[in-house]
Amino acid sequence: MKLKTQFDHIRNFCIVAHIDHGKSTLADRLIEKTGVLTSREMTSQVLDNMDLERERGITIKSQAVRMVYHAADGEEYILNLIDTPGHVDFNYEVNRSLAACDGAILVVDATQGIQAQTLANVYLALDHDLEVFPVINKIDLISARPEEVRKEIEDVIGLDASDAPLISAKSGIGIEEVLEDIISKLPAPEGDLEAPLKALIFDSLYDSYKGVVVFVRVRDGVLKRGMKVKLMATGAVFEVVEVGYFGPGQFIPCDELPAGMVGYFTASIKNIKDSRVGDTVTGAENPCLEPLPGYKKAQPMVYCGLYPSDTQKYPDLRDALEKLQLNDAALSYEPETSVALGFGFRCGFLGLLHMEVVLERLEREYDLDLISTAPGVVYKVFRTDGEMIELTNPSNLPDPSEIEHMEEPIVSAEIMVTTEFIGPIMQLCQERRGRYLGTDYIEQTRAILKYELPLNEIIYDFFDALKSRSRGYASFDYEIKGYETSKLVRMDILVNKEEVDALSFIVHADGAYERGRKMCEKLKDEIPRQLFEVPIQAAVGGRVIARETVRAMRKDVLAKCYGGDISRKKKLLEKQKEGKKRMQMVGSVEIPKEAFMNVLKLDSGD
Amino acid sequence: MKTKKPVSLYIHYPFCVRKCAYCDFLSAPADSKVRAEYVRALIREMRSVREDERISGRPVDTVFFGGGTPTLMEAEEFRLLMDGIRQLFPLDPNAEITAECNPGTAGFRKLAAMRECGINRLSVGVQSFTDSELKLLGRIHTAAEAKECILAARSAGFDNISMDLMSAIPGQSTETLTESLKAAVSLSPEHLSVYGLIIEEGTPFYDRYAGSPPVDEDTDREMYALTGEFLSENGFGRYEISNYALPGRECRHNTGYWTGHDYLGIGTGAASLIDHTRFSNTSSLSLYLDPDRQGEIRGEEVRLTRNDRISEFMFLGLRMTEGISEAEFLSRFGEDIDNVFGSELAKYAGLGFILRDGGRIRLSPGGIDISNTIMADFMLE
Repeated sequence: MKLKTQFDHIRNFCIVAHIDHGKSTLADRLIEKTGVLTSREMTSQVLDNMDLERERGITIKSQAVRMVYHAADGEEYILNLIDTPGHVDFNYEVNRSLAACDGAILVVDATQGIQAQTLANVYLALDHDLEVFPVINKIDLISARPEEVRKEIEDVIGLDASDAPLISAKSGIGIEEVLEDIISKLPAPEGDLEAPLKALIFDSLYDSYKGVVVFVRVRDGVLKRGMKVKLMATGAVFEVVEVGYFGPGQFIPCDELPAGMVGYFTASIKNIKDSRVGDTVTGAENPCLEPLPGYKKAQPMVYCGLYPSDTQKYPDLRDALEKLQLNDAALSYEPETSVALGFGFRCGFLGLLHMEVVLERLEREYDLDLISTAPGVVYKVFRTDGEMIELTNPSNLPDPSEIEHMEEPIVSAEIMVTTEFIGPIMQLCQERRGRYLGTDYIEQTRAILKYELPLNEIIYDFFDALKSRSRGYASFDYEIKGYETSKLVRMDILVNKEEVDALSFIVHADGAYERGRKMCEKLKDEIPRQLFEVPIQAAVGGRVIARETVRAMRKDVLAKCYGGDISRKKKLLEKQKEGKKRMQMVGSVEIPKEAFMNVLKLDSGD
Repeated sequence: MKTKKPVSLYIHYPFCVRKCAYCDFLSAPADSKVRAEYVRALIREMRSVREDERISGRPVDTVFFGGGTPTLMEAEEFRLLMDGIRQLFPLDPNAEITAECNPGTAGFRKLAAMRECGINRLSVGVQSFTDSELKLLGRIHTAAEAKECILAARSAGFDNISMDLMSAIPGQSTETLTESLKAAVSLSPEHLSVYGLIIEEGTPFYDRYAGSPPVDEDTDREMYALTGEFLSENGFGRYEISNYALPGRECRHNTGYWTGHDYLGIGTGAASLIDHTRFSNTSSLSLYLDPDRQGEIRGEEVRLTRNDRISEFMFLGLRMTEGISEAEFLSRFGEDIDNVFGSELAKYAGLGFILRDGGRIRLSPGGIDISNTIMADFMLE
């Protein structure tokens, strides 16, 4: 028997939007309006917990909050808002958050209209069978054109936007209307309270006191404190210690979570791997027959080597990666060694933003000083002996004579751009080996360019290049399409005649000369003058294709040093010595640590 | 009775006729009333410093009047200060007593009076014997006046004269530098300091040249090398990065800075090193001149750690052509130098930038060119 009335008063929803269209601000307003927090307690963007998220204005981890809303019909509703990341790198996170929802609010910026990630995210939501209603945000801006945007939503996405609320999350306009629409337009959850427990794990995090905190959406049955539960994928059984729901930035324990609800539980689970995201939780004594359909484990798409600048810190880096992985299942790592950099890890990321975020967290939260090597994608190397290897570290590329052929990952990309920038953007895509598929015009002034691009051409600096060539107007989204055969070679970089393995990368043969030349130029600018002349060379298969020279240091001397100068001079020399610590010794050459990353940004200044 | 360790005395005179375009020293023009007041304050400070038990009773073996332009002082003021020094400190009868001298401010009569009151060495700021270069630098004298000054000093009885010259002046060529060196040598000084111009922050030159150095590095080093060669041919040995002297005429006062000799600085901004402790005076003239605030003029004292002393021993000692002595290192710090700096020494010796022989360690000419880079590696935390 279904207790319909109880379900009727619950809404599980998320907000989807293109970056900066106001998703987090709207979330803040909803929280404020429903009185979970007084406005005095509100810091801006309550759901973005990490410093990094606030600073960059992006959401990285899924967050959830429960609100109680007194609706116009006099009834009290429980609204579970599950915040989702907006960036393409984190589509995986979006997927799992969406699985916990029944509906979604689509936020569109009244000045910018539909952007690439608007489409990507709304399609993801529709794929999950979510009910979606649009709201048009930032209507108080002078450049707002709400009626055009309303039409865009109907024409491009096909959603009814005739009564889309016109709001300003920042100024608090129209928030009441959004809350009413959540009640009236989004469906209540369905489920069977009498059936055996069936709950979907959509996220988890590690707490050093409670162990793993498992985020669940209960589909059927009731999750109660003290009951024994089974995690279906692993078969592991745990006793539930605590159940509860989400307050803003905190956990609020309760006795039970009935079907339809979103919340969390803890069960002294020590290993986060035991609670796989996407797994189904059921009762140990009265299990359900079939697990819920899970979702695919996120595959790392971008790899790079991470090394501690201080080789003594290797164990610290290992511990830090272990801890980060507890809250970031998409991060993978395994030990590797580099001739130039010593002991480190080959780490896998969802994309370049994910990589940057992990790097920043390691440096900030774990106080590590890191060197990262050239990011690369996963190549498939088919050897003449019939074996296939998935190559994540260019150093492991077999001898060319042993390679039958190689394949690289290709993405389908959609770039939304105002028509005046179509030319420069198409040129950029062509430079990046893009295959043009077509153009869809949204209105007369805007178009979606469709391309297939090799992933390795977009991981370093494509997004920056796109922004600079469109004066910030282009938006971009992509998904992995598959692998294709490609003529790839390994480029080796030699500094002072010694190969620096950390700088090797895989490149398409046709672009090798150009890339080698640019790499050498860039490195020449990155490497300060040394005590001796340093040649920098790029080589493919042992053949040098480009060369630059860093001239020897000529003059670094202080002419005068008398009594009054000594303290100041000592400080200068100490500073100079400090500066040397930011250098990595490669053979007998000192290379600044940033150089390993900086040399890859080829488009800047072109 | 145990003889006390000698100390050097530095007297700072922070006034000049006009500030030069490259100068970042504590120096500015001031009227004669303030200048007279300052001389009284110098004597007041010396009197109070004498109370410091770390200093009292220690013989003074060198004195150096620096600035600014000490020769802006009246002859009478020199006499006053020298009398004060003799009364307040045991002045070694063989002390080297130097005054910096700006050719635009010192005629025969003043020089004779200075010599008479005991000053026995002059360091004349010539900078160049090319007038256009002097003008660009903002000097107040011409090349001819500089020559006259040296001749006047000779007839006033100075038998130990040094000249300051500059290389890498904007617009200078190796030819005009050579001309200046020739002109200097023709005046038979006992000592020469030849400094590569440093473009210091906060000077008019910085605003003008910081973006694009007026002399490229290669020319700069060429000038340095030719200076060393020319002076060597004329009997002047390089004994420090920028200092050259006839045998036995090295500046004892300055050599003290590079070898860890104690020194006491008197006057605004003056720095001291006493018993492994460094301190400096206030650079505020008004504070310095206020008799009621005598107790506030000295800044914080910083006690040098063993590592500080090792670092200083290395980077100052390496400025000297004779370098540092391995035995001296061992006796000062109780540890073999190779224990402390074995890998650094091996690295730079391997590259030919450091030479080791006869128990001494010194920079090669190539090492001098990049000495900061090398010295930085000998800094201990």
